[in-house]
Amino acid sequence: MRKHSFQADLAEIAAQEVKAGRLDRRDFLKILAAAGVAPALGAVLGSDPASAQANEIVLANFGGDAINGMSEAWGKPFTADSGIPVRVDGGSPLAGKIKAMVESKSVIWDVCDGDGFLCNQLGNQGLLDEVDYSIVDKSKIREGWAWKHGIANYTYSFVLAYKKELFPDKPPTYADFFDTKKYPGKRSLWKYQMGAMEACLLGDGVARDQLYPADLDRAIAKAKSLGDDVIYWESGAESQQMFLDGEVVMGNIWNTRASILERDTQGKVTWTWNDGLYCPSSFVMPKGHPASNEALQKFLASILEPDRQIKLLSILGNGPTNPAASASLPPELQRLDPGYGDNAKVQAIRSEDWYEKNYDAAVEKWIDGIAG
Amino acid sequence: MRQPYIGFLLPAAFLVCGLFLVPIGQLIILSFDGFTEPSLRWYAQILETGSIQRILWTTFRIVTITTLIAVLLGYAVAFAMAHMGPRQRLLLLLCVLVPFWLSVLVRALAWLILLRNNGIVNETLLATGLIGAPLPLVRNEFGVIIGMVHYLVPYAVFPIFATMQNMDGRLMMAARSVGASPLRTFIDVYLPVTLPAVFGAGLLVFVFGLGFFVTPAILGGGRVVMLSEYVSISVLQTLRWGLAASLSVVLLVATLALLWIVSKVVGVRRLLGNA
Repeated sequence: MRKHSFQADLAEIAAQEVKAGRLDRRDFLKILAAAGVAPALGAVLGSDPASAQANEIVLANFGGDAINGMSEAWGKPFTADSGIPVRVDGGSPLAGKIKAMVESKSVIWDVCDGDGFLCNQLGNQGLLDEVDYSIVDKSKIREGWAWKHGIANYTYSFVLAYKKELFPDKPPTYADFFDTKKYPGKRSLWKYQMGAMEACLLGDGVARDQLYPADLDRAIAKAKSLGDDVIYWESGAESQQMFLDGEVVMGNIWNTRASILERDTQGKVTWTWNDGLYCPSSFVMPKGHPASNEALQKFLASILEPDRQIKLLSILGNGPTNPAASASLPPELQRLDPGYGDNAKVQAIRSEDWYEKNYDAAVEKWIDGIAG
Repeated sequence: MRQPYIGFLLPAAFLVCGLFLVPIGQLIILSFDGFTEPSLRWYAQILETGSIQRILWTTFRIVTITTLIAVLLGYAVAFAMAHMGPRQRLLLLLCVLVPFWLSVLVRALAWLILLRNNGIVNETLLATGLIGAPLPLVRNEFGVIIGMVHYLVPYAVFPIFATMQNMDGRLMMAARSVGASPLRTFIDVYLPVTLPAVFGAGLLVFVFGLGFFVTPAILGGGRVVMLSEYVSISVLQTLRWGLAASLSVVLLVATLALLWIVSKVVGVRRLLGNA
């Protein structure tokens, strides 16, 4: 077969290098991208780059401090044990991107950080590899959070953060959150439904253990009752900034941001675990990932080690998913872990089942509801 | 007649085909659910879903208001620029160009700092006692329009300015010499000559405005969702690519229709050639 362009030729050389083992698949994809050739062409050229094993693990998360945090807590110890480097890529592995990569057979991530319910949601669409529970120890994961296509890697919560001067004696409830007459000022909620819906339902009198199946219409009506007194935050950094700038007096935000706010404002902004929403995050492995499956399974097993989970908590504020880790926390970290004893008891637990089935439709309905 | 330089068009034609027409074709196919089982269900959904229509209406309303204001301001700036001395012109040009070079994100955040409840504008007004409570200037539709107008004014200024600068000054002199007042000269001579450029600028601003994404997301406080943000959510969050594709096709068709209408009214040669 005659090649028609320099790029195609370059791609062919690269493909041969992969076959000969002198170039790994990831560099191969990079060369193809640099040459402006779609990765799919690699397959057309007669090479099967997927058969080449990459010599590193690429962990995709949502960037920011989590790049360094996951690298320190999970990447480095794993590399020390196995000799396999772990590179953290803050490329935001949203479900849409994972789907696009798998379907176009150009997967560049090995392990992706995402919400717990994505394991089943994407797994059932055939987009993910299964977890090998002969390598990953199921007993090191909180019950119900070891899924067929992924494991819970850390936890986080949506919590009610507030200005301390407004509530010096006791923390606000979600009834106070919606009482703009008694407590004037703006509130913030996440734009993408999660946590916000639960806050609205709690504020409307729904009991913590009765949230699911959720009445989305009721939640939207409650959110709209705030009128101009609500600002929807998009990124965690934004939710934090709104408090620092004094734009809002209360907000339903991630516990990781709340604890940073408390630290940075010397306690002027603080949070309550009361009526928080306790959620598992997860690691999934998109089908066609470059690294070897065995290395990935071992990596997943390694992140469940209590000391590594505690390390992540101390750097990022994300809680452990291994109950043994929560049980052995030093006192200064106990207040930060969403899953620690009393903290967990006063919160609602997100229903992964409900979100797996309803999240897409719910986000859409929510956005439609709050817009205009 | 032989065209010796036609070969130079090939790279551009290749780029437009490969990077624009082919993906657009794929998008259109996607919006009909592909070849195997073509359907109109995404278009039906647009017609049936009230909230999507609200978002379309919000987009249309905001962009129309933005276009009117931006063209009006742009006309005034262009007029000043065309008729002032070269040094002042340079200064004014800089004032228009410097923000033009700033990223859209930086500009949106700058407006936020100025206009939010405890921002510079509200704090100053409160301190002087002119207002008793902060004005809701941002995190709403009003804020979105401010941010968009600011971004889009240069796009209105330049086509109008080009026409004004190339205008034959003797036209006005002729009008004045037969006794027309300055206002009369402006309305009967100056305005009609510059009108095609105004339509061209309006079209440019309108089309750009339809695709706005960052500005409404930041300045709208999450409650002002415009079409392109909704498309982005459909692609990345809710994975309804068919809906995203069909909304994009609707946007594309609306834009082309607009282009056609304006070109019928003004004449496409005057719109593209003179501006």
